[in-house]
Amino acid sequence: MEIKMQGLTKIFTSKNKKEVRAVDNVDLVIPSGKLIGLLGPSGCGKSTTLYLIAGLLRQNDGKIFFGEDEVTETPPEKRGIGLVFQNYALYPHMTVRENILFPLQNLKIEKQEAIQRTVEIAELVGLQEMLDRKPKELSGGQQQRVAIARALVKKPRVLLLDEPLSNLDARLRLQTREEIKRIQRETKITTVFVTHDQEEAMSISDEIVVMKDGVIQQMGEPQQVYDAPLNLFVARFLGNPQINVFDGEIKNKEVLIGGMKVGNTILPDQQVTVGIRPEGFAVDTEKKSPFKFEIDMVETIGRDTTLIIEVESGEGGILDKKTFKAIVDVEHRINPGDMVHFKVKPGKLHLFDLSGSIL
Amino acid sequence: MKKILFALLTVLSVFLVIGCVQVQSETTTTSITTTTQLAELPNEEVEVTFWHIYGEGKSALLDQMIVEFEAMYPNVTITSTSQSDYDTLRTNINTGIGVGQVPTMAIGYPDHFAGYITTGAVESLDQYIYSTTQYEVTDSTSSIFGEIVETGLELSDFIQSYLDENDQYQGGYFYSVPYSKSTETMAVNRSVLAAHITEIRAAGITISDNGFLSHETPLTYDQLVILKNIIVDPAGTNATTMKCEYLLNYDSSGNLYINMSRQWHAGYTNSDGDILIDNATTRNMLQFLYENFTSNTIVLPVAWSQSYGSTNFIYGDVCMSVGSTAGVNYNIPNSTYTPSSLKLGIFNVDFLQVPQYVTTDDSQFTVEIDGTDVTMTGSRSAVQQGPNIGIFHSATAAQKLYAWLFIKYLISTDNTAKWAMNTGYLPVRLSAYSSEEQLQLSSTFSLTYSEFLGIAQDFWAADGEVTWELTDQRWNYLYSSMVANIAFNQADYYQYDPAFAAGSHSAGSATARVEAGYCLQNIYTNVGVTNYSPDTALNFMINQLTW
Amino acid sequence: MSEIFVQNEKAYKRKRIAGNITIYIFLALVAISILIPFYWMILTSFKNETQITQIPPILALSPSDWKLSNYTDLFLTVPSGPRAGEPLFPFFRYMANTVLISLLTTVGTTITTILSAFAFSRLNFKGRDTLFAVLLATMMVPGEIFILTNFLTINKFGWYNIFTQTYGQAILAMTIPFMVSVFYIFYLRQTFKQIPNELYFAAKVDGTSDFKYLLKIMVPIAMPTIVTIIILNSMGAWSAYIWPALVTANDKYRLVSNGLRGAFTDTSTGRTDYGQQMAASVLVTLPLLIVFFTFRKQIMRGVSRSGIKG
Repeated sequence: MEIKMQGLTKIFTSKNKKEVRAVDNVDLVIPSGKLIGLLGPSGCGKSTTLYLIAGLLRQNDGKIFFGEDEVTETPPEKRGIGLVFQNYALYPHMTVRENILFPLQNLKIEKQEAIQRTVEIAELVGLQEMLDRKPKELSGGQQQRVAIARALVKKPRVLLLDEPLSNLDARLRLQTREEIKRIQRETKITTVFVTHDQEEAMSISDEIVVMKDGVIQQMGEPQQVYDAPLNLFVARFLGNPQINVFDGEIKNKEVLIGGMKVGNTILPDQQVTVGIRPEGFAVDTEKKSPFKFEIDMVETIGRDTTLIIEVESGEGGILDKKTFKAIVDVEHRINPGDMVHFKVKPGKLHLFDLSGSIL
Repeated sequence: MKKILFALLTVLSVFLVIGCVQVQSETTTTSITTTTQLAELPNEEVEVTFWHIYGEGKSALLDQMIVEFEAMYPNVTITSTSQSDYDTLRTNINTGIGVGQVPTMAIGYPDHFAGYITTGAVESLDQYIYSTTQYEVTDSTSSIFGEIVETGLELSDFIQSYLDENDQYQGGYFYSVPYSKSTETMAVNRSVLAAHITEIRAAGITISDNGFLSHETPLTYDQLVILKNIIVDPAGTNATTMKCEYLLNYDSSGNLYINMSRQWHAGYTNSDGDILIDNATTRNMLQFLYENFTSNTIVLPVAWSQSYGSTNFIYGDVCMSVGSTAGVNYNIPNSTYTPSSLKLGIFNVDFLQVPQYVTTDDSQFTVEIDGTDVTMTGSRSAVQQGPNIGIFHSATAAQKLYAWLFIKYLISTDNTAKWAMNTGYLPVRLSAYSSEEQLQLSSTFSLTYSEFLGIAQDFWAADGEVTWELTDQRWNYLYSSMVANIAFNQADYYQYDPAFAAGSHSAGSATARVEAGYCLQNIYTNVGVTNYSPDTALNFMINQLTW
Repeated sequence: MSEIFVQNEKAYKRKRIAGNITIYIFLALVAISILIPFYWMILTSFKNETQITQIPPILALSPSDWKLSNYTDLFLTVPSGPRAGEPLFPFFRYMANTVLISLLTTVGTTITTILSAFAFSRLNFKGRDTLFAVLLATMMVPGEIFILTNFLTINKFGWYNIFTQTYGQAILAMTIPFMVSVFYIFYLRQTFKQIPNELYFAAKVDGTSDFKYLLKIMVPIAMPTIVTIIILNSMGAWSAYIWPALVTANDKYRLVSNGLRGAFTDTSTGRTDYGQQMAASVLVTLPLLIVFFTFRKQIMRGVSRSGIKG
């Protein structure tokens, strides 16, 4: 089931009458059967968007379609959605079985069938042994699976997940992530997944949507968005360690940072913002590159070495930090104090105009 | 939308329940409204609501009278309802006045009526009392068919101070009539007196061979002091010398204060609600009491942490005890008491009038206060207590007329005598003392009120040596009969307690009585405290009652 | 080494025993001070009139000295007159009234409390917080103040008419004004507020109406608080005194609390028959004790766990 949003807008009015456009004129099409990660910093409007899709919030403007079906004015219980909350929102006084049965009872589904479906869904999420326990007798991951089972059991048109993994510890998070992916694949249900964790989003989403201040910044397959960010925000938001951002200029088809050449371009001369991901650097063993720095710190983890370079303010045109990082192959054996010449790998040079848009 | 409706409904349901109702302001009318006398007995169905406090068991006689009355007037129904206790009765009438929900008639203490009157809720009874209207009973189903019924009340048949109590209100109108009255009498340990006959006679007090003092004239305070010197041993009750630790217990400290302030002309309150206690005579009186407390002449039940002194009278701690006529039987020792508690064993009891300071009203007497003799003018006084009965203004003319006829029936000579013998109250009419109405006191024993009085008279005449069989029923009524005789003998100096509601400058009469009691209890409990002055208690009382 | 350990162990044990003894003595004292009035009530109910007034007081009676007359006298009937055969102290009638009133008041209070607490904690409507503040402000007003306005309300509803009041009207008059309690609403609202919003959203998505959500989710979750409210409220209704006496024109309609106060006082002397009064009190307390011991677990749970986990 495709989800389509047209000019969707949600305005919150705070107590001092200040209006906040949490979702600002969003046009978005979520393709049928895909798992979409809705990503952005907190307060970017991703959860609001999710709640608008769910119908739990009322939009100020715009329309929502599930397939051909306009659901803009449909109340949540009629939209046919499954929703999983960050804190699971299981009914504490009910057993797992009762929790899963609850939506079916409300749909007035025949008892025999309801029980059948409960067992099936419990098997799907691997909870068949836990059906008679109360939520507080389950681990966080199990509770999360109950929540998913409860969302799925009524065979919703759309599955919505609101930060489903953030209450889990790191190991469980990885495990549950895979589980969600698996379940989504098996059920082929259109799924929207809200998270502030880019790694999470990138690892399981078919496509990610990056949001900021209620506006969609970019949508696409995770790697594509990572490799070709449409603006400085997306470039910065994705990637860990963060992308290094420099003030630079284009002069005679050369890209210069602090007067040092880092690459070539066909663009006309102008002031630009240059983004280079840490892994976009390579060590120029021939020491020909003019882009050279003294290394302040070296962290070696596994096969990667992270070089940390402290930069005096203004030196080297570093934009927003006093350090930048480069990740290079461990074989280079670099020690603090060494002077290293850097090259930028092909296609790893991201040039943005001064407003932050890609050039 | 649904949500809003739901919320509204929820909130509405809350408000429905809290309910904001406009408080209706009642105009206070103090003027007396007169009802037109009916030319003939109303023959429509009339329901008269009567509120009292007599529980299911105790109202048996009342119920009987209601049945008889309803037979006399078949179109009348008396709905008799107990309000459990006086507080509830008064509260329910007071709140009911605001919304016109008052019974046709009710019993009540004078201060209750004083309160009702300030709101104009009570009907003046003068219109009936002084009426000469006569009615012929024309209903053939009536038990008094063909008889003539009079409206008026022959006031001369009533004990004067009862009447004074009931017309003390604004304008001097009767807003109630006496219904169920009692007084205080004094129980004495006759066995102790009998053990000291020689000394008592030597001191000039007349006493019979078996220890009976005069039942016609009350003891004077001087005589009390003489007796105290003979029969009290402050070291403690002594069975060998037959002496008590204390001479005279007063159950009600409030009554002691109020009665004594009358005996001393000390001033207490008046019906206008003035508090008259701040004067030298009152201060003298309290100092006098303080000294008498110290000398074991007078004692209050608080000495034994009790509400009543009757138990300690029975134990022999005190030789004389003033208490309500209704509580007679609490003063008689018997074998159900643990023998070891009875310091003087099972002794004989006699009843006397309440002690007085003078023998004739407005004459002089001398007492010693703080070492000096003080001469004052005083009068005789004994308290009268118990509820009166009245009619409320809001009832219809027919209801009020029948309520009045019912009251007349309740306090008729025969019925007041019956009521008195049955409940321990005293008849309100003089004629009741010679009533010929036979009352069945038990299945095998019936007698008239004068025969009832005769039991004690015979006993006294024989100096206690009657030859009645042990099974003679008269023994069961001996003490009630004694008290009834004593009450009758002191009836000519009953004094009523001025009744008034709390007002702009003072508390109500009920509070005044309570504070008077506390005042004496405060003084009593401070006996022996160095530098204590009874003035402290009086000043506190003044403070409590006036503003 | 091991000896030192043993010594320490001993010292620790001794300390612990001493601590326990202190605690148990304290608990015993508290328990005794609570039990003494009950003991005195029962003891007095078995004494005769002279034993009650005896000085020094009798502190114990051997079972052979127990006087059962106080109990048997409670069930005496009026011997003669128009009311012959009716009980002197209408114990069963008063008990029935009390049970009925407690039941109705509690059911009513629970319903209004749940609905209002829900409205004030979950529903968004204009002026909600103002309205709630106004309700809370009424808690500052002493309950006695409402007696008059409530009385007027009851009267305007026609439920207090001393000539025509029926049993039904008396029941309405006694119960309706007490079917709402701002304090309980506040108390339950706080509990409701602790229930995370997501549960409401989850239930919405799961297809419940507001009312069904309240009934199926909030009420069961807040059950400990509701049980507490039920207990407190029924206790209050059981011991209500002033109001029932005020709005009933007939003492037949009154409660056992009213009966206990008035029925054993001799109207002419003002003296109370404590033996009978205590015997009646024992009979009145008995049902409460039975209820308490039957539902001890639920009551303790309700009182000790008034909060819920979010």
